[in-house]
Amino acid sequence: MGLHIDHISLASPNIFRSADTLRKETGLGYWTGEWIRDTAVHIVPLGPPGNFIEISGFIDVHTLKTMDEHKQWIMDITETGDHFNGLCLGVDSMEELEQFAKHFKSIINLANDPNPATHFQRANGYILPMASTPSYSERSPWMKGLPNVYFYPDRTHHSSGQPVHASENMVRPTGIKWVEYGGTEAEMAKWLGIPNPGEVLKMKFNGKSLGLWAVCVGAEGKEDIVIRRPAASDAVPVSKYAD
Amino acid sequence: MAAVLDHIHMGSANVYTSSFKMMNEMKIGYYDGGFMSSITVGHRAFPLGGGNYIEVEALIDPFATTDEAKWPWWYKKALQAKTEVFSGLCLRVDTMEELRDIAKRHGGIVNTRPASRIRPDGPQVVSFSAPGGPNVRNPWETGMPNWYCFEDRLYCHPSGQPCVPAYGLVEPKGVAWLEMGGTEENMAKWLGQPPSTLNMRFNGKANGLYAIGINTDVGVVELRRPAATQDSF
Repeated sequence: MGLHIDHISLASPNIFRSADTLRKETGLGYWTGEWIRDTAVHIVPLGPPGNFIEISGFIDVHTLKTMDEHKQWIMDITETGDHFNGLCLGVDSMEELEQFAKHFKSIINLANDPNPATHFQRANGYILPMASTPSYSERSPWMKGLPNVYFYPDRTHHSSGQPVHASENMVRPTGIKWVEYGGTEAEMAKWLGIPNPGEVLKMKFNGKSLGLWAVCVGAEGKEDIVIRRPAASDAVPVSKYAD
Repeated sequence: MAAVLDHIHMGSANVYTSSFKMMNEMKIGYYDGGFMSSITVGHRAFPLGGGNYIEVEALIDPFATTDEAKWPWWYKKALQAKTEVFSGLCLRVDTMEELRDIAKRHGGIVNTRPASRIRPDGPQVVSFSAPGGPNVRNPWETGMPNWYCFEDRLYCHPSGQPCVPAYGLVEPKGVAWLEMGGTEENMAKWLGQPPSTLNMRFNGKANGLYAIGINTDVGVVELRRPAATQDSF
């Protein structure tokens, strides 16, 4: 596949309500049960070649008594509702991921990191191994409205391929057709180190603040679905997190 | 007709960690029950067989719950106990007429707002409970059971829903026994039926539920947690 869109993060003040709302709005089903520490995700598969939206939010309210910069960012961008807060790209090999780590002047978060605090766990205990870059030890590029990159050593349990809660009037998604992104293609090209991200990643650029603003998903036998939410940078300017 | 056990409510600080921990401990499966219509509470259910289930609940919305005074009492108890707690024992009757009779016997009414939950697949789960009303203290807070009626909706009862597939699970076959605080005499008076019909045992501690035994295909599985009625843990 080469460099591609893997998944999209939608930050939510209440993942249960947001997933229910999105399903009613689009007919897209979702599955539940994955969590890490105080945060959980409801997953909306978008179809081939393996795309999904993760609706993410805090589910352990008491832990918010102890805040850090990242937690505060999530609270700030969800205070006024759902915001797209992450675009997650995928590559086919560790070699490609290493190239991105080198370009980002960072390191790789290993798929087999023994620290359980780095892994999302599913309701049955399964942990999907995934490697990514830039490093989690650095400020997330999401806070600057920029994507990060993932590699799955084994895609057979990929989040986009799991069964959703069956519901009435569901549609079958056929994959991402395009995404609408803030900023310019030149800014994205510089961040990723590739000449034509618009073409490679089916990105349209709207010139607004950096971050994802909309995603278009094909639907079998139906019109395309456009999911439009404000980018996180609409709530908290990326300049707050400039290096 | 005598009431039967319907479900057991457990308060938790984190429904994800609690339900995963309990699944590993009991080897009994669970599923995502969605969220309460109040939007602030997430739900997990463990079907136990025999028309019984455990529900685990916790606050899941940081913005809807900024006023700690409005946190559910059982949530505060789970935080205090640093583990999930047994916070409600819930019986079931077949008809609203029986539910009204029970409410009347306890000097209350059937709660006018039904318990309502939105499942991840869309439909609402609705049941009515008693006793309620201004003259009746919440029975859960006193460690005593209350009663529910699902009217004609038992066909989609929470105890009959499919669980998350996981390795090494046992097959639950209904609740074998309940370890209760208080005395058999007081419980019989509250229930209006012999506690033995609900397989209750009494440990003489403060009112509340302390442990349950669950019949399974490999024997009785025991789940023991603090009763939420305790002042300290």
